[in-house]
Amino acid sequence: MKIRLAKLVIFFMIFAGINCVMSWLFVPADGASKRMWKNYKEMESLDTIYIGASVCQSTFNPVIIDEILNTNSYNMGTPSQPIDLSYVAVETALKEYDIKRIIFGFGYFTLSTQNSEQAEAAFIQAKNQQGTFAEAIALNANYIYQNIGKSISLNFLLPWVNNHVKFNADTIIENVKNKFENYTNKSDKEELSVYEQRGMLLYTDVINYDEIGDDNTWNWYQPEFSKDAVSKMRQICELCKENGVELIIVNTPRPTFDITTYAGDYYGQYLWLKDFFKEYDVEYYDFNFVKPEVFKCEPEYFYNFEHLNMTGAWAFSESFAKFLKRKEQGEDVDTLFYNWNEYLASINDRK
Amino acid sequence: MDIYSVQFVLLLLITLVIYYTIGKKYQWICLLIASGLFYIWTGNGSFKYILLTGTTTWLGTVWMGKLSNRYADIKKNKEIDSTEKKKIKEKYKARRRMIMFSVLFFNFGILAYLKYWNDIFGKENTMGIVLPLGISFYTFISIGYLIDVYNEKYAYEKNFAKYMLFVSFFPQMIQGPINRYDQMRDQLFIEHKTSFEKLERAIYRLFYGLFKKYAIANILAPIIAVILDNESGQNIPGSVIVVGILLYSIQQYADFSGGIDMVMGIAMLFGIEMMPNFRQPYFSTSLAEFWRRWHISLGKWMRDYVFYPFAVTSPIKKLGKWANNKLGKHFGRVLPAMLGNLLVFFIVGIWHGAKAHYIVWGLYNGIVIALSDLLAPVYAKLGELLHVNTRSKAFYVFRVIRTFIVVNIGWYFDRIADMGQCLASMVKTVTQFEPERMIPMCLWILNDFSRIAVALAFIATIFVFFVSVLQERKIDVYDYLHKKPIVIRWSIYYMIIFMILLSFFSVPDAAGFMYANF
Repeated sequence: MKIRLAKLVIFFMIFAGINCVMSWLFVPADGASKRMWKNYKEMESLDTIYIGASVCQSTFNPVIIDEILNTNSYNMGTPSQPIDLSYVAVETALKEYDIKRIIFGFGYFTLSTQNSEQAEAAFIQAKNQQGTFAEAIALNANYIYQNIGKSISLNFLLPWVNNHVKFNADTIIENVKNKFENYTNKSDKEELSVYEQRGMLLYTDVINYDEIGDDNTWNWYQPEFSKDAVSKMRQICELCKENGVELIIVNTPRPTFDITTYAGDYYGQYLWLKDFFKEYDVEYYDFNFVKPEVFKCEPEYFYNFEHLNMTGAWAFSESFAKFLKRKEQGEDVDTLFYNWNEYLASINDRK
Repeated sequence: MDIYSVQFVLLLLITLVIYYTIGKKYQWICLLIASGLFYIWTGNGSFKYILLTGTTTWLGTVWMGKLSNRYADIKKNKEIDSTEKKKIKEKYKARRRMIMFSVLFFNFGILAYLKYWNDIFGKENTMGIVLPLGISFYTFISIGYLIDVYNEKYAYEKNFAKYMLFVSFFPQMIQGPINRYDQMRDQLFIEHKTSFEKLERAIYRLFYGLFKKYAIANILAPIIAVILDNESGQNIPGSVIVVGILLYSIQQYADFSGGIDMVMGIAMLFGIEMMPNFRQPYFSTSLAEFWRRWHISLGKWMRDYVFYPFAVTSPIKKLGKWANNKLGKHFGRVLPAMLGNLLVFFIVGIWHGAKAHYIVWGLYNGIVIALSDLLAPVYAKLGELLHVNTRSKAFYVFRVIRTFIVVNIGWYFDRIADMGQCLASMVKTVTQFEPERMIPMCLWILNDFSRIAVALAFIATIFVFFVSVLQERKIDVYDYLHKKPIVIRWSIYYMIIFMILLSFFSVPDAAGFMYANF
């Protein structure tokens, strides 16, 4: 019996050892979540954060916005950030900084998309590296509990299974090389642009409208909002309300074709959301409906059907900051947005 | 709740600890509670359906059993004469038959409504009811028990809770097997003690199943979808369709038999051996044999509760006699079996789904088996004429390959959901084979998939083939492994575990079992 037990222990020790090797081979040396949390920790003070998925990360330029509003802001957006992890970002920032305002880079997909397990694992692992051991245990336990009946709950126990580089030889070798050289790609602050240091994701290319094909919001995402996501959204609203923090939800700009090819009731969903957020005194703006006097959206501002490129993000961030200023000054900003019919009338000559 | 999840692992571990520490009287109660929890957590709120089936079949058998007991008392009564007894016997028999058919139709009615209403009348008519987990399996299990009690094969179970454990024993809920009461009764309600070896065997079986499911089936599924659902929108030549069908035969076997290995392993952890469901089906030498080795528990259920009862009905008996007199001895013998097979495979087709391609698939199998029975003397004669040594290894290999091809033709109907597309694919296989396009197109399709993942699936398939050869030679693979040096044994264990984990690189989700929705 003793020998069998000893064998069992050795078996599990070897298993743990192989796992360490696998983690070293596969867990990315660098990553958007890792970078976001690392640079976030280095911020001396913060009063505004931007949360959400890549549409947030590529849209809000903290440098430009801060210049106009005289704020200290940081973009906490990460690729495919699910709403429950946006909640974690809000909760963490509220605990660690004196946050006054939170901007949620939003899209209908925020409440309907199935979570990306890889993005979730990367986000949590990166967050754990920056937090205390107790926080890490609590976050991991909560995440496993939330997904307890799914395969991800087991895989999450092994960091490399969900958070890994692409499964091809070249990428794995490159990753190992980076780890050997202790080189974390663009994670080192001096190599990042000032915008990336503030959490931004930069897209330099311009959308090619002739090659866009069937890529649009309607085809990529589920139109129905999920109950779980809506409930998490409520929790974010309540958390902000409890802490006396202003929460602003922003549908980021998209090319006109993306709105017009939306086969569902786009404006109906917008009105529903408007009412939903009103319950919590939260402002909700769809910047696809904003009048040109606030932000004139040009076709070349986009990287693809949902993301602004750098030019677009720069222009939008400036307009958005000025918009917030007008709002702060007590102007009725609701009049700066079209209703559905006005919007349709305004887009005749737009792509 | 996935089997591959923390929730299931916790449920399993906690149940195991309680099971082996609690007194022998309570072991079955522990299993009943675990089964209830499993069903409540997994069954999408459909617990009421299994409870309804369990209750109605149990009440039906209790009623039938009581009528039998009452008649037994009457039989003993010497004051009643034999003519009267005969009358009473007939009356009781008719009542029992009425009960049996009422319960049977009621439960098959629920199954048919939940399973087929969507397909026939559209989703809106089922008020959004999700198909209860394992409904086909627990309905077949319960009906099998009902018919056995009706036929007085064994006495009815007096304890409702014990009966519910038999119906809802959680390892069988996902995709069978369709267990029988007389085989399970003696295992579910007796004391079980475990040993290191028993546990190791069970864990080995469980992980071998996980390996088949994740390292093979899950990796191949999206590649097959690109080829056979024509997701790429390309003009796919017949040669590539053949590759898709061959991959499907691997995927389906790995998924279904892998899932069965997993649940067998889980049941073995509790010292319970469920009915086997696979016996290396791709080593079969005929289609009939294939179906005796594939989904064995369903095949046996169909044989015992459809084929035999159908074959002994008076019209079929009469038809057999008529054929015997008019068309010869051989025809007279095989005609009832042919019709029985056609009926069985028609039902099996329908069981897969109320869609034309499933029915055609079922009938294809029934017709091929019927024809091979009918033409058996012709084949024998042909073999003699050509001096074929039917006992040679070469002929055995020929028959295995021939059966494999026949089975794979059937998979066209099973896998390709649209009947028109299915026929078009078959025509393409013959008229537009274009072998020169096979490799470039396969490489093009694989561009969207990780080559390493595909290589993993390939290695895993070879491994499963090797294990199947050992099993076919009646070698106990567990013993075989244990005779190997520890380094080799552990290397194989680690290979299995890490290939399972690596498969999640390719398919991040555990993905359900193909047969879980039946």
